[in-house]
Amino acid sequence: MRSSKKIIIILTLFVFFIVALYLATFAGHDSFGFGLLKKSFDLKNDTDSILLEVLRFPRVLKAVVAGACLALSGMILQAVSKNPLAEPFITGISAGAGLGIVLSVLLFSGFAYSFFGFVGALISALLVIIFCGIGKFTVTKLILTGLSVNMFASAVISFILLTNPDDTYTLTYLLTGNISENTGISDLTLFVLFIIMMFLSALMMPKMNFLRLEDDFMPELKTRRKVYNVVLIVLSAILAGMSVLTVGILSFVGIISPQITRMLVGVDYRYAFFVNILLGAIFILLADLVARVVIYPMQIPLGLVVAFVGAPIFVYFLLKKGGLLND
Amino acid sequence: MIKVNNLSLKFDDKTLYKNLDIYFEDGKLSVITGLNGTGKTTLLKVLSNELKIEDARVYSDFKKIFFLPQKVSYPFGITLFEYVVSAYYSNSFKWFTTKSENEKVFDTLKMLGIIDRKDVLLEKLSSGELQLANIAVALISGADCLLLDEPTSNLDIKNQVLICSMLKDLTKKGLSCVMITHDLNLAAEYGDYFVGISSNCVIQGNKSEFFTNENLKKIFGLNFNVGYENEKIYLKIND
Repeated sequence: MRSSKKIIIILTLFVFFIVALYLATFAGHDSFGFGLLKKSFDLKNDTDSILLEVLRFPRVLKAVVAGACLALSGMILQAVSKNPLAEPFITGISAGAGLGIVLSVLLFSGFAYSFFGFVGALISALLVIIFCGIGKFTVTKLILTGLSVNMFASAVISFILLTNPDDTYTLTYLLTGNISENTGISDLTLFVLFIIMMFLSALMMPKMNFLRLEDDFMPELKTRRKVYNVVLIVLSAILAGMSVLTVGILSFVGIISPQITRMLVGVDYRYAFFVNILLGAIFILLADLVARVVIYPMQIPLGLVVAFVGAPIFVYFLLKKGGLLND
Repeated sequence: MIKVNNLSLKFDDKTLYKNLDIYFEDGKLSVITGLNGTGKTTLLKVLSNELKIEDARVYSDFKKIFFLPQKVSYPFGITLFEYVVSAYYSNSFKWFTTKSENEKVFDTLKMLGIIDRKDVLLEKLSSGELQLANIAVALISGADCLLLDEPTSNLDIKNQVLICSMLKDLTKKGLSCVMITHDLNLAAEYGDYFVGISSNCVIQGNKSEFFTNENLKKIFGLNFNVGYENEKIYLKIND
């Protein structure tokens, strides 16, 4: 595919992204249609501007951060493991994050639970990476170690859920995945962290292009390859951790977004990077919009919307002619 | 050149070779042949320094070695050009390849005769074209020594000849190639130097030294009839 065509795809997605951003910010249960446009120009209205500043802007920021981080984390792991089934939480992150959230509810009655989830995610990822060892690192080892850590932590979570029936409802709700209201860090910090992570990831994209080549090709670059792999896995773990911080445990976007990206622009990661993070962000923005408005004033947990909407979309892309399974 | 001294190798309790000395010259197409499981691939891994064996001394004055394994995993979804140009992203943090780098890829593809396929997706290429693409990656990576593990094993006869004559041409331009193959006729046609490995001996030599009835009997345990015609070698199996 010509690079001009890829750039057109990126620009189109960017337009979609802006539209999704606009909808997620201004659309409410009663403000679709013309009311929507009017409201956006009517920012002087006090209640609305407070609503926007206090509730919507942070919420939109978190949705974008979560979508982009999940998508990118998934793409990096799929590239490193050369396995299209790899997902962001493969390094033991989901159960580590879950354990962090569960413990925060039990010990601190849920104070800044998503920050605890973030810390839990990073600790489990760190454990898995250390278990694998930097020098003797292989991807198979990583996946199997991650699986073991995930199983162990899941067992602990189940045990806690069963022995604390009073908190079971709260815990199940928090573990479903939802936009976090209190991340424990300021929105500005989150934004800066996000930009830094995106910049670091962008630096590694050409390296991922190099990693496309067979591992054995250049024997003297083997060490360099290993270093790139480990750097990329650490990056993806932090990205997945940031998604836990903003939306809890919700990894599905991390599988489907890279897959659809691969279908749209192939595996030139310099282009796939933009397509992928835009897709991830658009997906979470729209999913959160649905979660907010469908049964207003109640909210559906975001994790459920993502599964309800995402799974059929994914199956469509899998089975359609010229789709993911036809290569 | 690559020199290996005093190489001994054991798998479990089976001795593959003992105190072996091998010398591969510059600008030659060297061929390693022998029965399955006699350590041909292992020898290539020793040459590429991937496998370090105690007491063995490997000396190589090549700047860069390229190893083409038997099984290559391809990143489907990119074009031939993108595949080959990947080699330029190995270091530094640049996002784009320079014009001269792209030109070099074009020239290499032109030399290998696959320039008109440059915009074709990898999954649409034939096995022969993919193998040429791998050789293009080797050339782009700046390698001056190619170690190839059965590069012709799953190709049709035309592509086998194409790959071998391409490698031969490259050695005439100064590149050095060491290749494993089971096709003795092809080896005899294009090879300059031969190493035959069997479970109890290793025989090396140039074409006329290597292709004798006794040597082939020792290596393969089969009776061959080696015939010469206009300095070309023909092999007949007499079993």
